[in-house]
Amino acid sequence: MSTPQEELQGRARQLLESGEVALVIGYGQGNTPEKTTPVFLTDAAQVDQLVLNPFCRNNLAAWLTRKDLKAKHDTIAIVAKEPDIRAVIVLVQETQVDPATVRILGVRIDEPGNPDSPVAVLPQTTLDELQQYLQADFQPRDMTPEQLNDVDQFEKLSPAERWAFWRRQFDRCIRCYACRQACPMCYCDSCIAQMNQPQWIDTSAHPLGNFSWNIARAFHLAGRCIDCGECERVCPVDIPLMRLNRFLARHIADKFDYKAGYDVEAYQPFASYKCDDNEDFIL
Amino acid sequence: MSTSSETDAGTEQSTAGAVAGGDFEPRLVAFVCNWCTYAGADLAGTSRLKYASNVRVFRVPCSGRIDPLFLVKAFERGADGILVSGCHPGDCHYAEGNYYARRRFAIFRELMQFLGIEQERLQFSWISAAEGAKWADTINNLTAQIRALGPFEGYKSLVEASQGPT
Ligand code: SF4
Ligand code: SF4
Ligand code: FES
Repeated sequence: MSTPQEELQGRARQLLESGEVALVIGYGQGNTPEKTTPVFLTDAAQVDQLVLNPFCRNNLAAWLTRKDLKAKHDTIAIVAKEPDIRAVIVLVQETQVDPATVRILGVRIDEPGNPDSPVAVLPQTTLDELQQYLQADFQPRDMTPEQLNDVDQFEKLSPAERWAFWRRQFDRCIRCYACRQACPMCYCDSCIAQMNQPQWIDTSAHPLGNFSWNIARAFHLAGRCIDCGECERVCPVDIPLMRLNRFLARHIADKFDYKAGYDVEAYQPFASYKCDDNEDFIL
Repeated sequence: MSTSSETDAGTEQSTAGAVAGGDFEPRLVAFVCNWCTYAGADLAGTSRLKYASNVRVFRVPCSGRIDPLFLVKAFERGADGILVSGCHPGDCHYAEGNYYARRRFAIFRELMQFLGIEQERLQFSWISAAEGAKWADTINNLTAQIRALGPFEGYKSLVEASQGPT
């Protein structure tokens, strides 16, 4: 019996050999056993570079919007874990990716980062099938009890305590923008954080600029974040960005009964409205 | 705004009531849509209603035009409190701008509170062109609430901490 990794390699080989795709983006061995790195394969002979293990962490959907890759390769396949599939769904929804030009090699990693975690290649191959697979256990408020608790407990602090907490966190930000670069949903050619006419956000890594940057980052992902956790994982100064993302996701779920990444046809919460949306907060 | 003389007159009223807050005069910013709230504020002026002169009004085409970063920028530049105001649902000049704004700000204000910004500092209202009195009341209430809360030290300290050596 073949291992999941061999199965994945077989599927990639078949896609490249048949010419169905011009490029496969997957995970290759990193420079330590516990690291992987994205690999870009254009030839079936290269598929043995592909690895599938619990250390496949990057959200490779972030490469689907890269103009250079799109210009060179008319069809692209990516190896995608469940959150990464959700990212592709949002990219299709936002018309950033033409589904006809993408193939998804769906995989499952039960406990990312745990060397003993089971891994598998998903049997579903089309975006439609994968979407159905994700929807099977869809819950708008689908956070773990620990994740919900983290947000709920934090909300119980006083405004002054919450402010002091985020001050401590954001003050550390070095404005490397790794959070943005790693995020599959951050694909704008020119980011508001770098606009200078007018300058909405101070580019310097000082407390004021950092605060505005982190507000903008969090809010621009509201209703779009697919909860992959990459931003927080790549942040070199360990800012708990997922606490912000999940807080926003919880409100989006509660107020608009919506969760990003489950339906290519759905209207996004900020691109739609209902006449009777709650307005208790408006005088 | 054509209400300047009236708002000046309002200063006496607001400073008279400022005893509790000491010398603190809140700096307030209002982002209002051209078609309803701005006209409502105008009506307050032409009706000679007195209201606190603490507010600086920014007129925008529609509440849907208000990017949350406008509000962030206002706090950066020293606002102690902000009002966002547009047409009542169903009355937007562009039919649906305020419906989009309502969703955006329902979430944005939660984010600001989660970060530790007191909810009084960021308020929202629908004020029609006929509601001059509601405008005056809203501004007076906002002013009183922010006066009670005090200056927005949080943001002021961010600004101070971000200035280089002089
Ligand atoms: S904001 Fe973070 S968790 Fe959400 S999609 Fe982007 S990288 Fe993933
Ligand atoms: S990854 Fe962390 S340090 Fe870098 S810009 Fe994002 S929040 Fe700041
Ligand atoms: S024109 Fe007033 S809210 Fe749209």
